[in-house]
Amino acid sequence: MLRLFLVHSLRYFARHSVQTLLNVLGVALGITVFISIQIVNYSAIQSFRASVDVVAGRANLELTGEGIRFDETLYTMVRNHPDIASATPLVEVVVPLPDFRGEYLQVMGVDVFSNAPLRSYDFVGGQTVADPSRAMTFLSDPNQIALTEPLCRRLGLKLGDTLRVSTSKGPRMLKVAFLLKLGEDQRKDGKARQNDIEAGADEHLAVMDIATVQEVFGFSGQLSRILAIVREGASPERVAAELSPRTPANVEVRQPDRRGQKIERMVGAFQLNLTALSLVSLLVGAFLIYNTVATAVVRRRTEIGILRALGMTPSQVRLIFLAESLLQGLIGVALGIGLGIVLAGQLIGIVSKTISMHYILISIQQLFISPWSIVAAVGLGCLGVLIAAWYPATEASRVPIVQALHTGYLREKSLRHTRSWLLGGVAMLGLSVAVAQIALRWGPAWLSFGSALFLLLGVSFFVPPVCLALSELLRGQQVYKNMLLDIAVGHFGRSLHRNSITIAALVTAISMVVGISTMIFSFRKSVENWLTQSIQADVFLSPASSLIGVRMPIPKEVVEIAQKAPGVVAADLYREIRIQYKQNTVKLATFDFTQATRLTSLTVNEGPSAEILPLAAKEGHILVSESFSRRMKVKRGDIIPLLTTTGERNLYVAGTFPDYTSEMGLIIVDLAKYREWWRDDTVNSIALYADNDTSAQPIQDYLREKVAPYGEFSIFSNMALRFLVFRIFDQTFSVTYVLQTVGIVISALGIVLNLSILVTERRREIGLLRAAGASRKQVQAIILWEAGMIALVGAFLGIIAGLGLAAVLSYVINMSYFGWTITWATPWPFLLWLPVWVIAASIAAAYLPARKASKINIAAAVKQE
Amino acid sequence: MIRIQNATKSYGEGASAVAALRGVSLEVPAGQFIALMGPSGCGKSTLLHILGGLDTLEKGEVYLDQKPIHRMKEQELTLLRREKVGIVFQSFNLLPTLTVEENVMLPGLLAGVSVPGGVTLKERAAALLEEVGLTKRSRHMLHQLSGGETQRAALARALLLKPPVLLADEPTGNLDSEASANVVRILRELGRNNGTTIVMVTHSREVAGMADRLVQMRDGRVVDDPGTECAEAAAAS
Repeated sequence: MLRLFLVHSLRYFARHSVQTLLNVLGVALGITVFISIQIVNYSAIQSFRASVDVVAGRANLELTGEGIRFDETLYTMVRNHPDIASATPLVEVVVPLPDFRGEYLQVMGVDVFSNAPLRSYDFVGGQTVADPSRAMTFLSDPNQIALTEPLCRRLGLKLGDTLRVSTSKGPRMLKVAFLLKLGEDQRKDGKARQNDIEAGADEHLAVMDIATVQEVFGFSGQLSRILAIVREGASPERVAAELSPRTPANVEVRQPDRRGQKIERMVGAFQLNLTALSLVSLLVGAFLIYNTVATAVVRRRTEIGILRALGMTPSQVRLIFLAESLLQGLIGVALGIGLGIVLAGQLIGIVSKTISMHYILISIQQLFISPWSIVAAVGLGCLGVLIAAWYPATEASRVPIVQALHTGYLREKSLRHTRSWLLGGVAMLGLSVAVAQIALRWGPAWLSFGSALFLLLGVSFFVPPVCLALSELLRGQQVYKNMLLDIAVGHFGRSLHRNSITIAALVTAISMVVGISTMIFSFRKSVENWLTQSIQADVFLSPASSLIGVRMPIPKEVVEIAQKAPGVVAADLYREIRIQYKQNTVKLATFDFTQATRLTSLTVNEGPSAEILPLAAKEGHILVSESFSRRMKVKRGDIIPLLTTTGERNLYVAGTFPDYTSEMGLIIVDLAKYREWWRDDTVNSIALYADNDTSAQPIQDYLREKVAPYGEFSIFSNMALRFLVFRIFDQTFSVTYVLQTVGIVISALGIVLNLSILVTERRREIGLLRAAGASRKQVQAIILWEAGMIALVGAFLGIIAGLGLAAVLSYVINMSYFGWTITWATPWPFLLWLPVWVIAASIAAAYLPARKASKINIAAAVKQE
Repeated sequence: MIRIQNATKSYGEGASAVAALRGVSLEVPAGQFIALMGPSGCGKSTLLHILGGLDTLEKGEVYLDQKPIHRMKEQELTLLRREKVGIVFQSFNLLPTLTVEENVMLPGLLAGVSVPGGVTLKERAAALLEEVGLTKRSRHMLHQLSGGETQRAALARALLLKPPVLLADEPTGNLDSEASANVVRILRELGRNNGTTIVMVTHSREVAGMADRLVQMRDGRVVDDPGTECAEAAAAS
């Protein structure tokens, strides 16, 4: 029997191929977006993990300063611990390549003697694995470097070539002496095995001799990390606990895998948001499925009647409809997974850049597809389809047999209970508000997405009553004199059961567009206001590598040149590091508070910055960003412990301030105190203030000429920096535009599907109109008018729902995850133009069904029933 | 075999309610072929639907094989349709996505039972298709068949599981006179061969003339039934 029904369903699909295709596409696009985001997210994490694995090798213990280097004498202490089998020091530095725009190296300075037991890479000279002793040549020539094979291939480098790198002492030429084979394990017999290839590790990894790195990049006597293997039988946790008290306060002793977990936590919220947005497309697809199944129930009512008359049970009828939906859903899911992989390939660059800019330098080399994301896509796709199909399938099972065997039933049925829909909508909106309150007050944070979901469902529930009200209003008023419009309004009113679902899908898609656009618009305005207050200098100088997310120090000579440039009256030195606070990575920035008070108008929420900042500089107080304050529940007057290079310090929080540079949270401390506590006098960027007679341009020209020998630098005017900030801002949100577009495409498919169905349902009526003298153009006009009405209601409710969604995104989801302060701003021109675009797009989507309607065979259509 | 007592049914509510059956009583012995005739809206199709468990009564009693249909729940009615009743419709009501043979086998596949007599569904379907003269058409789709052939396929389907009762709702309504005569002849022969009780609704006096007994209906009532007269005469004597 199963085979027979499969054959039956497939033949039905073949007979209604356009409808089936649209349905499958609807599911496929929803899944495409979902799976592509999953793949991109997973690839980012996997790439990072792979790189961590290569760097950490087979170490099961590491000492790290989390970005701040520490004294190399610590290495002797670790190596001499009785339970340490082997240990190796490491210096890491990110080095820009001035000859290759946007390219960089993640250089590891290694000790070739001690790292042999730990490393998970090999040096290859030409085709064969090099004799380990050849690695010794690193020591003989300090200008040698080993690069990965993929990077060499991409940059067109080969063994023996020279490569220019930027250092804090100016450019330096290095010779490509070896290729790095990542992840290969060197056995004692000298043969390589490929059991743990670190697939996906960053191709930018490079290896140099540790002493050379220390000398070339100015880190003499300093280390980034110490990697160690604990003796067999000893516990890494215990050894870590023993070593910890003997290390400086800012050095953490831990197992290497914890680093990956920290990064995952850091980018988790960003990735979760993308996932949630991708699910909206799936929701739009579900509306499409609902509509198709509901249509099939109407179209196949005679078939249902026959089967029931022949002894099929109601549950068997429901099962058939569910199984057919599932079949289409599965085809859609399979197609969606394929398309998703393609889309992921397109998105990966954007996401990679965004993560590098905001969180951590990452280069995603290949796509990683987690089996779980495939399982999730199949599960969500099937579940979505079954939920969407359940109600209409149940309706089908309840069709009275005698009525099913006669035509005319069910068409006008479904929207009699508009009051229930209205009440349901109000209840959903109530739930949305309640869930938002719970998420904000008590958490968990993910509950905030529930608020958005209930909001979208709530507004969808309002569609039937609004449609009914509109059609009754238009019918009652007789404000139009157009007969075709009259007929179209009549059709619209009578087909609410079908139109409502299409409009609900359209409302969901439009609300996503409006919601995200309004949130981004408000966010942009807030950033703009903040920039006006906080960025007031005329010229900004930083290493060029900062544009690709690499924070390099500015050489002291360059700082001096900038400070003494003609026309410059003041220079603000800025340094930024990442520190740990309660197991979270946060940013710590420093600048001269007293000077900042004089030159800028930094906002401090708790009072005048002119009083608070100088006092903070004098007393050693810190200030925290609003996002830090919200996430860590820290406010003015609190005292918080911070690990500095000179030990843990309990610091008084003098105030909070708006900031849009880091969702991780930002702490600011006066420059003098920072240098004292962290023993770090490097600078990441300089802001220069010109005197009244000098414009930015001559200062920029002067700097370009003078600092060129010291490396590559970005020198921006105030306006250019603002432009850059907004370019990064827009890049951050570019993925969401892709998601919005897919949502809109799905709902356009919905309109095509809906009108195709309506044309089929109204065959006889259209035939009668044609028989009564209506021209093909007139029939087309009726269908197009109706499409216009669908779009109008969709746009109207979509905008309302979208503004609600923007509020949820800005004040519930944002507050739960990021804590940015977003001041509401309404993008009026966008909102006013949107209905015009939606109506135009709907009419375009309706053109094919309208053509189909105008070409029906009049005699056959009239005879049909 | 079939006993109907005071069957009453109306459609719609309140002032707009239309009475379809107004206290119909009827008895059909096993193996009899009766024809129900009457003008449109007289209630004959409603009566047929109630006998087939497709619709329910408001008042009255209906027994099929001494089982009270009027008291049956949905699940029991489904079983009744599977096991006791075969139905032939005016508009054929075959599934256009299935072949002739698949359509004939459908009730057996739905019921998940074998055919009484130990033959397989396929064998039974082949035998029936031979009896209705459609062996060569068994693999054809419905649109390749004429009206008469389609109705003969529907007839084969209705008889697949050898139901004791066959209900035919204007089976010749969409056929020309030659095809009509052919279909009713086959209907009667198959009924006789299988001992099936047949209740047929028709507008055609010619078709009705081929039945064992003709019952006339009007305005929801039986107005002429030789069966009742015979019973009354028998009771009087």
